[in-house]
Amino acid sequence: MNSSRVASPLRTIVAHELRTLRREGTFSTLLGIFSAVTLFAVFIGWSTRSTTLAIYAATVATLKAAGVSHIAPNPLLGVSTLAIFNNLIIYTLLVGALLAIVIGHRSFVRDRKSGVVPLLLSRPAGRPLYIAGKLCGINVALLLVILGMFVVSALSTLFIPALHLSGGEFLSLAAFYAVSFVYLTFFAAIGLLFGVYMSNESLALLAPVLVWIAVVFILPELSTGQNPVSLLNPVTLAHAPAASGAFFSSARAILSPFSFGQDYTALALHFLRISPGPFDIGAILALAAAGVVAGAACVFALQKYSTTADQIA
Amino acid sequence: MTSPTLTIAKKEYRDSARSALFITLAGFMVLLTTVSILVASFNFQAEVAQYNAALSQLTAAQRAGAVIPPPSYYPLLMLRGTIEYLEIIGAVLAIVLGYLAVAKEKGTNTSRLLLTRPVSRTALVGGKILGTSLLILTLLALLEGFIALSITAIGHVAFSTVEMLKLTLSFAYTYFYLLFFFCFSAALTLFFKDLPRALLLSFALWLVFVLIIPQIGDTMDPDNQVPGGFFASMHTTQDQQSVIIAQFQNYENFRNALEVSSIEKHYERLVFATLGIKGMYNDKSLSYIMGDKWPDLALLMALYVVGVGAAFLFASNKRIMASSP
Amino acid sequence: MVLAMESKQRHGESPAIEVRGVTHAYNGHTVLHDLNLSIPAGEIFGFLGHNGAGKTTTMSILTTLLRQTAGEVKIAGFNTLSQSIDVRKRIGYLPENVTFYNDLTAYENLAYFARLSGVEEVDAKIDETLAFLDFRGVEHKRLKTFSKGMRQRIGIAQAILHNPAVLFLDEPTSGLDPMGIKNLRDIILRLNRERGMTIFMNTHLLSEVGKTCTSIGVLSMGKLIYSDTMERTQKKFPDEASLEEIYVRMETTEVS
Repeated sequence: MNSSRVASPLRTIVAHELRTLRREGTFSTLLGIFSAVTLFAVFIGWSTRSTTLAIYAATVATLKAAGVSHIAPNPLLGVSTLAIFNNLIIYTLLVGALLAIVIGHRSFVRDRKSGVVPLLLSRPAGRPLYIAGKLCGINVALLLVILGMFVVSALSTLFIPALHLSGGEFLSLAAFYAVSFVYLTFFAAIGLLFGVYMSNESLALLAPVLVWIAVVFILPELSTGQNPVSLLNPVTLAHAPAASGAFFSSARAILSPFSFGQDYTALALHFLRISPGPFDIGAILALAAAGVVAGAACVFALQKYSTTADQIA
Repeated sequence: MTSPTLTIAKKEYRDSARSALFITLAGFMVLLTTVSILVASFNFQAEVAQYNAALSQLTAAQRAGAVIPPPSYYPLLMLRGTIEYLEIIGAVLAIVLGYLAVAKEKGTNTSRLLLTRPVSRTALVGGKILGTSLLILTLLALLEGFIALSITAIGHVAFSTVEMLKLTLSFAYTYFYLLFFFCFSAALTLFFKDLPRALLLSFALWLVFVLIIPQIGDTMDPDNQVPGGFFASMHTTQDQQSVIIAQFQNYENFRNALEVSSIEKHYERLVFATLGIKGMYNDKSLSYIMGDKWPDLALLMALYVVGVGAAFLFASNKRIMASSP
Repeated sequence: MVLAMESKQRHGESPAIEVRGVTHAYNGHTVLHDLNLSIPAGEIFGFLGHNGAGKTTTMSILTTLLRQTAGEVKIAGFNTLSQSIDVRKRIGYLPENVTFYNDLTAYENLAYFARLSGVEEVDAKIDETLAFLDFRGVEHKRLKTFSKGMRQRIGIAQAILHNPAVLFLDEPTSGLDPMGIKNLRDIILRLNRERGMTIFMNTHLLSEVGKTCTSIGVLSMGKLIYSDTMERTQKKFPDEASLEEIYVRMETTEVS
């Protein structure tokens, strides 16, 4: 490594974060899990779609044999090929968020456990920059993982002729991954936030997991009245009627600004062309804002962080 | 003289029960239960309101002779959401607990100290598992008490003895289910030297066995691929539909085989039958349900044994002492 | 009480470390009471005190990690609160029990901190520092293979890479074997002599203080109960055979 001039502290921290993630094997584990999950989703989507197409052919044959003259056109023609990726929405919504939490959590806890936090904070870079560097590093890693998922899905659509995508659909798929990335940054940031904020390692890991449960289960349940398991089916989600009653409508009104799990799902359903609704600009703003607020909270938490409190605790 | 296993179990239990972690978890499970019961009761209320509206419409139309069945209230049915939370969230929390149980000891001086005491490794691991079991059982008992009280308060009807028995039995199954995940993630954390990798893999396996596989019946159902249903949009009769599906038996078998490979599915089938959430078991006697569902119970128990066994197997001195900051 | 060590204070130069009226409270509990210290450049200052006396808190304040509740601290003439970045550029710090990043090599660990300390020519500096510490040849080994003593040397290397004016060492001998302690002592003396570094170290190893330090301070229950040069300390207590006895007498009678 040639370093003949002063490297910017931000770049140094980002590079360090990435190197550590790679060395620990965390990055390859993540990439492996996400690629496998993508392949699996494609396989499920493809086999279901091709079976459904075969069932259509069988249905046509059966109806013709029964003497039916007017046979409805294949209803799948109205469903975009992109819908085969629909399971990825749930995988990202749930496990993607959990994995992002682990990365954020480890990022600070690793430094704390190896005793370098006081050392790092005594460097001229300053606390906000330290957090910014960590968040950038984590997000670059997540972006690479998301890119990996995109490449895996793009390759699978190229190699399976039945899954051919048009140019527009390709862009839409890319937009889906971009939104997924924004969604994950929020969880990485709260993983880091609680890692900084709580000196008890167990609570520091559990707290963001509880936030995750609130965002992807409790808030949607309170505003839709759906049971937790029904919240796991993207097709049901896209077409579920809103629950009626004063309780649910007021819950919706109060909780909607915080329901970015639902914001993500809505955007993902839109980009994968499962949901017929229009593009919701508010949802993407809410998602991005959540990530930024969580990141800013990390800086605030580190300002309050006291190295001696850590030793006393 | 108490056995070392009991001493360790007691210490584990006392430590955890007092910890902020346990209190947070217990509070959170109560919150989840409250939310799901509230949502269920509001849904039921909406159903009743709908029924009343329909009834008054009929009355207004002077069709007093027409009969529509009123929505019937089964208190145990209010627990569907709670059970689903135990299935999904309970498993995640058990994974986090299992990870932390090992992570906090791995490579520490305390574990080195423990391993030099005249205590067998079996007693050590057994003590930890026993302690955690007691903790999970305490949590479940608290939750069951809370459920009984809140459902009584909401519906103004107390649980009958049989209902209480069914509820208790369901929570006993839940214990086996949760301890499986606890042991499973503890074993993985012991197995891998890198702690974050162990946790990531535990979550990934949770994804596969709790989310992907049990949902596969739903997500891979051809009829679900089109809004409103595939067959409905083709205007086929029920008979024609059966004939067509019969041609795709292999696909159906594959789907089913995947589904039954998940512990969650067995747990769900067992508990949904016991509580009568699955319609055909509603109001059936316990012995009838048992007679039908014993294979699910047997599988749940078998997986529990495998989980506990894996924890024992992987808890070698070398693995416990392997430091990983 | 202001205890200046004017003997070494060079004319016209601000002291390397200047602490005025520093008090620190944590959770409503005062852990430092009205601390005053003035350490001239070029000193090796040993900060003594039993566990929990407030040594690490003091060091955290001096290294800008912690904001004192009241009072003022200047390092090399810069205020730790209003000019913290300038202070950080001029200090090196080795916390107690630091283990660094196990999965990275010694070089990678050092390069990381060197860049964060604003070092130019990182490779050359690492090479030079490891040569100074007589520790070349381990650059590309991962830290997980290092012994405690080796890690401590990496810690020292990290702290001096950017050639700071003031070096803070928190219990640097903790956990080292006799050979490691001797090596560390040599390094500290050489850094002071050859590079003119002012060194401030927290320690409870009295024998080391006697062999290394040019001045000492004693902290007890958050109060500075004694501070003077080594030379004068030994003159003040002619009856005591060892520093240990002096220390015990101070702690029990609060001599100042």
